[in-house]
Amino acid sequence: MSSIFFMILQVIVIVLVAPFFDGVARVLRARLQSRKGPPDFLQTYRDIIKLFKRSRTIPKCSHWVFRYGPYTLFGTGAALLAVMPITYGSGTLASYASDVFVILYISAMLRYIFGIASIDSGNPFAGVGGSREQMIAVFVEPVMMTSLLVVMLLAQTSNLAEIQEMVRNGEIGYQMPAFAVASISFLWAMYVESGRNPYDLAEAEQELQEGVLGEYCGADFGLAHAGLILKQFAMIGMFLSIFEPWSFENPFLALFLFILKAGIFYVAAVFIDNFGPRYKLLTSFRSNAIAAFCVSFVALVLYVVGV
Amino acid sequence: MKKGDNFINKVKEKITVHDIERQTEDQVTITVDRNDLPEAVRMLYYDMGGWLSNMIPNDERQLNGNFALYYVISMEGGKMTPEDELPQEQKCWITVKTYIPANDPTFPSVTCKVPAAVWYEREAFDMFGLKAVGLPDPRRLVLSDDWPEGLHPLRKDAMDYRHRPDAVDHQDEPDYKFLEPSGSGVVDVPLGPLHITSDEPGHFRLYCDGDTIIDADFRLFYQHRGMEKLAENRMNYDQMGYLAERVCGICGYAHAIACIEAAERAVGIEVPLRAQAMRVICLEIERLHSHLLNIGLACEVTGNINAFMHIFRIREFTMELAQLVTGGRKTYGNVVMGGLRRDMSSAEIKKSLDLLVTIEQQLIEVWDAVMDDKAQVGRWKGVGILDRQVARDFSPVGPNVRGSGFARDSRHDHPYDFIDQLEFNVAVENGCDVYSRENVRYKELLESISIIRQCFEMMPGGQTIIKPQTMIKPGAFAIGNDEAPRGENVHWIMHGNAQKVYRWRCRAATYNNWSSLRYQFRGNTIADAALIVCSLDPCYSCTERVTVVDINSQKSKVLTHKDLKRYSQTLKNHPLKNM
Repeated sequence: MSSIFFMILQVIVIVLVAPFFDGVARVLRARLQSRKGPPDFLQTYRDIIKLFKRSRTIPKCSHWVFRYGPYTLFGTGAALLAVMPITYGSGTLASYASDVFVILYISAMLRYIFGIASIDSGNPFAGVGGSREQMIAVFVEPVMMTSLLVVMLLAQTSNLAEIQEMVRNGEIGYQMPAFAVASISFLWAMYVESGRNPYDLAEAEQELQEGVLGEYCGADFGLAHAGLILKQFAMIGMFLSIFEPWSFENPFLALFLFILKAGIFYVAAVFIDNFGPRYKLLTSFRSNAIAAFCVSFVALVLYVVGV
Repeated sequence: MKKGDNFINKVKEKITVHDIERQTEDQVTITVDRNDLPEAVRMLYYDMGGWLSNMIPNDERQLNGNFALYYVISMEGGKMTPEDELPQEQKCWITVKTYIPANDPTFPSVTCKVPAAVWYEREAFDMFGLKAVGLPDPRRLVLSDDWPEGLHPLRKDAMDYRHRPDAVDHQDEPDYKFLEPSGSGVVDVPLGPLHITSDEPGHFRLYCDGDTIIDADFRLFYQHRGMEKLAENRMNYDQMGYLAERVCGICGYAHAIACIEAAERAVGIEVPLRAQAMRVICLEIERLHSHLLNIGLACEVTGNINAFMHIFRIREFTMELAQLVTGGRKTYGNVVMGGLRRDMSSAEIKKSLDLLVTIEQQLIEVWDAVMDDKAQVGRWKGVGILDRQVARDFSPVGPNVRGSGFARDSRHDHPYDFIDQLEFNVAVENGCDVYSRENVRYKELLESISIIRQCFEMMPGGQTIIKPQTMIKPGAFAIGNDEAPRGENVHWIMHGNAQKVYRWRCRAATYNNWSSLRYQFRGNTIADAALIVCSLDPCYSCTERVTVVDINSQKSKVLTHKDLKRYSQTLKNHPLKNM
């Protein structure tokens, strides 16, 4: 039962800490852009608190899909985090939920909610943004699936906690070329999934005029925003638990170390997302995705030929 | 033979010219019969290499019992090929004028022969009730959809500027008819009138097939300020400059200069050389900060916030430069008839020269970094193509047309002030896309820096202002032009009695750029829509200087300062409510 407690604990702690790293990223980004930026690292907390004080405004034409969108977004984001085997290991009660397929389906659900909520808002730009979000899945999911398939075939299991354990013990790992190559393509998929520039269509402000979140405001927006930050952490978490799983035995220390590592990844991504314009879906984005897919395919071939 | 006579002789061969009137050395007006109007404009435009620069409808019933139309054509050559340009000494303005009897306010539409006239003729109906017969697109342009029929605000007897028509309830407002393509599967994506990230109101309709825009239509003029009406008969020339520069928040100085120089030319005032040089400097400073703004935004709308921020850092130096020259971060409040209100000290000149070095260095540095970014260049290339023939038909101006390979630049074609003593190149690119337009802007930034430097180095001595003593002749009119950052601004002023303006027509650069925008949208994706609009560097407020006001009752009321203050604090009991 204690594993369930840790499962909930890791979600709560990450929910509380994640905005801090967002704040760090913002300060760093401001420095790179030669502006002052927020006064400290706590700006995202203040933003979310401020948003929660604001009232709701909802388009007349929208339905419950739109209204409950932010809650479900936040909920699925939190669920994604919960199933990451950070503080609990294999064999515990919680680890039965920690499965690659569970994670893939939860993230597909998150994307689905994102899409229908934005289409339901009645804003044509949000609708276009929502449908693009689905298009991204078409490009990213094959890459992600193929990379994970290689890992699952190597480990002979789809349970994330067990895979993590095997990598830790060295049963599978970077000594296998297939695993190493899969880590590269999965890293790309993870970055795209976390929805940051140049792949961020979720908040593609100008081009799609405020993107999918365009019609949300106040607490709704704050919640949806927090949900997206959680998703980013979950995606980083997934990468860490498969490809960089070394950590402490003690669940508290493990959680601390995980947050630190994920935070570093989150903040370091500023060095990518700060520079250059967004990619267009059917031109630059597609060619990128095809390259990444080739890499993941190489990993699969390497597994099949058995080197 | 004077400037423009050769063109007029050619027109005379086919058309009866009733009258030839010369305003200045390079501005001639010919009067033709209204039925000959389209042919006369077409001959000048297509056969002799003219571009439509302005069209002024005017209510001259008090003067001669008629309405009048003035089509201002800038004779500079078709410029479709490099050789296709008139020699410098032949370039001039030819205005085709025609009278329209007050009892039959119609005229044959020029748009059928010269598409560039479409916006002007739509506006002529809105503002004066002059109906262009055969106009392919007779929808309203300027007036709002619920404006009463048959009320044309710029007619002299139409209205009192303090009154406004009764508001129509939201649900009773008539719908504006957008030009819609027919066919199944066309998705209508509305954008505006007010949209989260648009800085000014404009209603765009993008008709899409999937992600591709197959056609677009737009409605502007949501924010008229009634400036042209305001100027008539109420302002004297000392006030006009201040009104004109409030046309725009970015290129206000260019408007002030065009307006004041139109007035100065009509009277024939020669401004002191030092003032001329400083006017040029201010215009170029305005170009610096405006182009930096636009290049920054062109990065920002593609998501490149980093480049945007760095470009804005440089822009700050140009504001500082403006402060050294005019005393304010914006170049406002400086231009008056006869010169400038503020002179520069030599210490300020020295500081400005240092600042120019900084701007130039950092600009080159940042631009190189942007050009190194393949993804950024990729987002700009091949997007928003302005076809050369479309450009020739619609007379666009500024970087918009220069990006399509036309060397149209008011500084080069119709030099004003100090410009003819300076050396500069007209920046031209041949790609027709966003990339070319931004490249033109970058080249112009460097040219502007060089122009400012030349002006400072050659700075003539003497005073910056003379007292204009000439009496202004009622009925005299002239064109004032300059190259604003977005393109050529053309102002036209006709003088009235008692040192007041009879008619002021302010044609901002963006006005000429809007009508071809539709063609630039076609075939691009929605993701690029904002970028294409941005690459025109559109200025909504420039375009929307006109309108307002109505008279239903004859009552009038004087508002006191107290009334206004109370109203602005409480927002209750509108002081004009009971009128």
